[in-house]
Amino acid sequence: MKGLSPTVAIIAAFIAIIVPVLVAVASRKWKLVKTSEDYLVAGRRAHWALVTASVTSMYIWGSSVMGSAEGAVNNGISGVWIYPMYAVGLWVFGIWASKLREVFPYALSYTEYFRHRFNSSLHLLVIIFAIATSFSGAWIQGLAAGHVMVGLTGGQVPYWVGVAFLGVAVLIFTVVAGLWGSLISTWIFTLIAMPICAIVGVATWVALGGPTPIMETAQQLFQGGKMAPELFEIFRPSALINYLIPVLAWALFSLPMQQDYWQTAFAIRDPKSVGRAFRHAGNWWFFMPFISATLGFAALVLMKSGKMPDVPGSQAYASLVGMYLPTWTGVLFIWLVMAATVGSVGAAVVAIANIIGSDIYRAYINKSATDDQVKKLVRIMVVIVTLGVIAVALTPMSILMVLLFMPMYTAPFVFGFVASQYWKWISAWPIFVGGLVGFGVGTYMFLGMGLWGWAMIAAFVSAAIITLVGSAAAKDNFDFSILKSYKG
Amino acid sequence: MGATTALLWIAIVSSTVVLIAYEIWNAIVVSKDFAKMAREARKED
Repeated sequence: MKGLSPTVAIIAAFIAIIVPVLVAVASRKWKLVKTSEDYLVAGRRAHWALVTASVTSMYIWGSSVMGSAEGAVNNGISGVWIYPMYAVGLWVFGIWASKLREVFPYALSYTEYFRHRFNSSLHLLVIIFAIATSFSGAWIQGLAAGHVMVGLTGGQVPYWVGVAFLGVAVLIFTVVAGLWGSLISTWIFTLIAMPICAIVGVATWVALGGPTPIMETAQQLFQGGKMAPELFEIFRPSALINYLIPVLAWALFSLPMQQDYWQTAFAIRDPKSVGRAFRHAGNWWFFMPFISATLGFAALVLMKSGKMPDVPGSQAYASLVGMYLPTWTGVLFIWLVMAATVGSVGAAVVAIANIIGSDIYRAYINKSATDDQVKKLVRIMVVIVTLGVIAVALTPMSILMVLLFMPMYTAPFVFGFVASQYWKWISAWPIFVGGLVGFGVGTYMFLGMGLWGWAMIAAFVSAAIITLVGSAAAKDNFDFSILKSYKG
Repeated sequence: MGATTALLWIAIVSSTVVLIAYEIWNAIVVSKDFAKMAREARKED
């Protein structure tokens, strides 16, 4: 893995760009984009299984592979549960997505819901947080693309090259085909990434001789007192409490406020299949981190026995692969990272352009805008946002803080958003006030106290209490037929 | 230790089988849908 030739790395990244080019050509040939609705929500003509693959791709981040191994290095065998449990977010999102398609069938963005269900003040507040969330997600992927290219070539390829390849790939398919481009590209990349995850993981286990020799070494370490018995517990309580609660909080409090996921839900042809698409994405995702997580346990045993040098948990998987697999495996990693980053960034820039086009331009700036004007504007916005992502990602920095802070934007609004689809008495100002208070409480706990998992929960709970109490005191009486009849 | 070894085997084998099975299923279902869309696009021409 270390010292992959710069020429090979650049050729591998260049080949990855061929996929978006082919997607752009196919979408023009099949005339997929005629209207702004085609561009923003794939004309609501996407097969649910296409959305399943696309959502799975958006969920595969660099941290999914490296972080899942880290969980087992730090917690023993119980650590294998940490990353797969993010799937709960997708399973639950399927329920909420089905509900919103039912109450607001012609939505282009989830933020539009706040304008028609509540008022423009809350709408504009949510827009700010929604854009910040999607931009942060794209920024993280930009950073990851730069870091991986440097890491795989031992620093021989400069950081900016990875970021530039990502930006070019995203621009190609998003400008031409919008969400169709994102859906098809991420589908292809998922079909590439999943076998790579399996092949690299299984090949590493084969090189180790399978679990039996690893467990024989673990037995000797256990008998010699070098491995504590709790490292072998599959349901170790302390690991489950410390890690699973923040993981579930992230999954439940972040996804419902991300336009990247909502636009795929709005794109599905049959509204009754929306839940099914996300359930299957959750199932598919659930099984992805297990292989790398089990290798994290193998790395723990090898490090304890002195057969592998001590490395931080986040580097354990890459180190193991580097020790046991040939150098060319790095090419597969470039493809895996391109698959993860290109899909997620493409979805994020289309999401931001959608919010600006549908929620700001058409709603406030030019209410009589023609479809061609909207389509032209969102294409320009896709270019500007992508260039913005490249610009901020060109400064190499830690991705951890950006990643962990993201749910602070979203957690305070989740309760009001979801509850107001079921209860007509939930009113606007408590969500507005609760959102700001929740954001303040969460930010203080995150930055001032360093409690990132609990900060999300506190942001959610404080906002939910204000929303419930405030709405009970000043009840709304919303007529949901307004949303059902709205057609843009 | 025997139980942990078995769990590792189950995790590796079941994950690999499910990932590949989903891959094949999804590729077939979505490809068929794209083929249908391509046919419809040709008809429009």
